[in-house]
Amino acid sequence: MNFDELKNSWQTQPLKTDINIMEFKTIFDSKWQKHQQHVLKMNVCMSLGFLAAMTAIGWVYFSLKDQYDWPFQASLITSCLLMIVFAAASWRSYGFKKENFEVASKDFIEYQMEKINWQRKVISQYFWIYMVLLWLALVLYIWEITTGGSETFRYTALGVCSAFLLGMSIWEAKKQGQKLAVLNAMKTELESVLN
Amino acid sequence: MEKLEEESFYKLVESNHASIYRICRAYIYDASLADDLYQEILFQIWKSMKNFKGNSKVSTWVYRIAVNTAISFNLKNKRHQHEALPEFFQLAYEDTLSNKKEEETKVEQLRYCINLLEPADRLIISLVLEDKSYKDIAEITGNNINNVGVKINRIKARLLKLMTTEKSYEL
Repeated sequence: MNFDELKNSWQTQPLKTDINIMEFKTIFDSKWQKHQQHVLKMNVCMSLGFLAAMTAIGWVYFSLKDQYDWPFQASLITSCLLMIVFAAASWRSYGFKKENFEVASKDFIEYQMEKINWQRKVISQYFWIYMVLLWLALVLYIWEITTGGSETFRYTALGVCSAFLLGMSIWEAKKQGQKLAVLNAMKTELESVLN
Repeated sequence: MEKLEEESFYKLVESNHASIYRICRAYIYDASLADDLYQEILFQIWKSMKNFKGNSKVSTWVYRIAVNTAISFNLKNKRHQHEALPEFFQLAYEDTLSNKKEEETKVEQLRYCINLLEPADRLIISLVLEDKSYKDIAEITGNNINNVGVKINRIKARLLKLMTTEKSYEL
């Protein structure tokens, strides 16, 4: 047995020959529409979310700014920072959805690896920055708005809020291991294709 | 899609569909998954047609899309993959021996042996089996032509060895 024989057998193997272009067209049109709808939905949801958050922050600031001191303002600034981190991560992730299949495979794989590295960073670093900022914003806010209350009330509110965020972080940390394992497996596979 | 584009797409698919389909079957052993990949490749070609600027040969462009889509498809479907038995093992034993033609068995065995290769090697060998030159493969994959040559020789030798060892397994 030699390789040319194999090649000949391979090339003469029976194939599905019934290509119905109209059928493909319908499938592709619907797939494309779904994709466009998904992108639109995501953009609209994100924009509405930001608008709602900005409106809420603005409303809180202008209605209460005279009543509270610097921790109140700091908490709102932290909230804005939080939104900036979130927006930057979202837009970068969105950018990675645009894949160019026409480039040489080496470039395509390098792009995929860059995407995986970004996803790893989001999971292992940016999520924690987000959580710390969120915690900071809430702690400052609670601290300031409970100024007139009792010490017990203030520390209970802070405790409940911190415990909730800690619980969320522990839950995420547990899932993170699995997510990172999948990403690492993908990265290893891409590296093996590249070498 | 415009009428002209539709026609160009049809012509493109008509002249390349056999190669694309064989690449899918070489890369993914499971026939139904290979069909999904085939459809995904055609979709990517359809989507990318407007961007084609003629900087490379049409066939290189098509193969690049096919190979990159296969890599992406493999990553997305990683969790659903499993080691499939050769199709002739999934049939009843008597049927296997009496009804399968020799040539079909050979192709099936070849497909199975390709499936035993690493994913990257599967892609390269599928291009070699399509009679693509080292230069074309280097252009499609973006690798150095000498490295491609070395890789191809290694994969060919491994495949021929597998075809010999897996034959006794089949009988």
